[in-house]
Amino acid sequence: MKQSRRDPQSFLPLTPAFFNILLALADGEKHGYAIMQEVIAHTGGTLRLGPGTLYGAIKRLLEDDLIEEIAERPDPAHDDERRRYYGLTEFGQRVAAAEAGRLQELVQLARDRRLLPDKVPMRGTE
Amino acid sequence: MKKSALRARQVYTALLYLYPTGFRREYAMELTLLFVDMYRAAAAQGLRALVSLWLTVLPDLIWSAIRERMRTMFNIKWSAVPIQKWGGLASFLLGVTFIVAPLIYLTGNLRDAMGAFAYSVADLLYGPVWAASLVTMVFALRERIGERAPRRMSLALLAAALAAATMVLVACIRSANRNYHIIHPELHLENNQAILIVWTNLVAGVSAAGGHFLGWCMVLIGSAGWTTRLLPRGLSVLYMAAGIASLFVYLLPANEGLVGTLGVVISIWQGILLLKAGAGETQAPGKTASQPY
Repeated sequence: MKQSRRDPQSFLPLTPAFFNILLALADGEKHGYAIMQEVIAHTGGTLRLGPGTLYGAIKRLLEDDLIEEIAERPDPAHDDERRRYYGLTEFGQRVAAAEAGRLQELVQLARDRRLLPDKVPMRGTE
Repeated sequence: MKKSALRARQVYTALLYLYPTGFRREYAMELTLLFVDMYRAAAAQGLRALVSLWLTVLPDLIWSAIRERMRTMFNIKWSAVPIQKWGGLASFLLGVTFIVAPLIYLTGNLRDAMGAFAYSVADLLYGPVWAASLVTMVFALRERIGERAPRRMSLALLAAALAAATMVLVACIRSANRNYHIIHPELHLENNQAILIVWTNLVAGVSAAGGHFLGWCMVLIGSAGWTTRLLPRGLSVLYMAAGIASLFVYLLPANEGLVGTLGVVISIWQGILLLKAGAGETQAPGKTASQPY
C-alpha cells in the first residue's frame, strides 16, 4: 500500500493540535464535537480547539491519510445522521505512536537530567 | 431550537462565507452542527459562558479562514512556512515604519519638488506596510505563545487587525485629502479653516482609535508573555508599558511619542527573538521545509 510505505518520522514533530486529535481518535471513531470534548478532557482544558482550527486540522489529516472518514452513519435515533465520524488509519496510528515515542524520549531525557522525578504522579492522583 | 440559538446559528452560518468555497462546501454543515453543540452547552451555563463562546469562536473563525484562504491561494501548507522568520522581518519593518514615517510627517514640505512623493511614501509606510507588519508579527507571536495563552493571543491578533485597519483608514484619509488639495489648487483648500479643522480632527480621532486598539494588542501580548514566560520579562514589561500608554493616546495625545519610541525598541527586540526562533525552526534536525506538520 502506498501510504504505509511513507515514513512516520517524516511527519514529526506533530503540533499539539494534530497530536491531540490523533490521541482523541485512538480509542475509537468520533465526530467533531466529541473530538473537541475529548481534547479538552485529556489536556485538562489547556488546549481548546476552535471549530475552524479543528476542521482545518481534520482536513489536513484527511489529506495525508492519517485519519479517514467512517462511511457508516450512526443510528438517526441516537445521533444526527448529518454528522461525520472520523477514525485513525493504520498509518495515522503509526505516526501517533512515533510522536508518542519521541515525547517519551524527551521525558526520559528530562528524568536523566533530574528535571523530573523517576516516577511522575498521574493526573488527578496528586 | 430557541430563538436566540437560532439567531446565533444564522450569524455563524453567515460568517462561514469568510472561508474559501471549497472548504465551506466540505465542512459548513459540520462546523454549524459543532457550533450549535457548543452554543447549547454554553447557553446552559449562562450569559458569561455565551460571551466566552463568541470570544473563542470569532477569532478562531477569522484566523482559520485566513489560513484556509492562504492555503487555497498559494497551495501551501501553512506550518511549513517559517512564520517565525517572517514575523521577525515584519517586526523590523514595523520598527522602520515607526521611525521613518513620523520623520517625514514632521520634516516634510508639500511644496518641495519631492514633497508629495515623500508624503505618499510616509502614508504607505504608516498605513498598509505598518498594518501588514503588525498583523504578521502578532500572528507569528500567536503561533509561538498562543498554545499557552490562546484566548489572550487570539484577542491580541484581533486587536492588531483592528489597529491595522484603522491605520490604513488614516493613511487613506491623509492621502485622499492631500491629492484633492494638489488636484484642485484653485479651491485654496489649505486656507479653508473649516476643512482644516474637520480634517485634523478626523485624522487625530481615527489615529487615536488605532492607538487604542494597538494598546490592547500590546497589553495582551505583554500579559501573555509574562505569565507563560515565553517572552523575556523585560520585553513583556515594555509591551505592557507601551500598551498602557497607547491605550490612552486618545486622552493624552502627547503619549504618541512615547508609544513610537517604545514601539521601535520593542520591534527590534521582538524581531531579533523571532528571527532567532525562525533560524532554530529551520535548522531543527529532521525537519525540512516541505514537511507538512
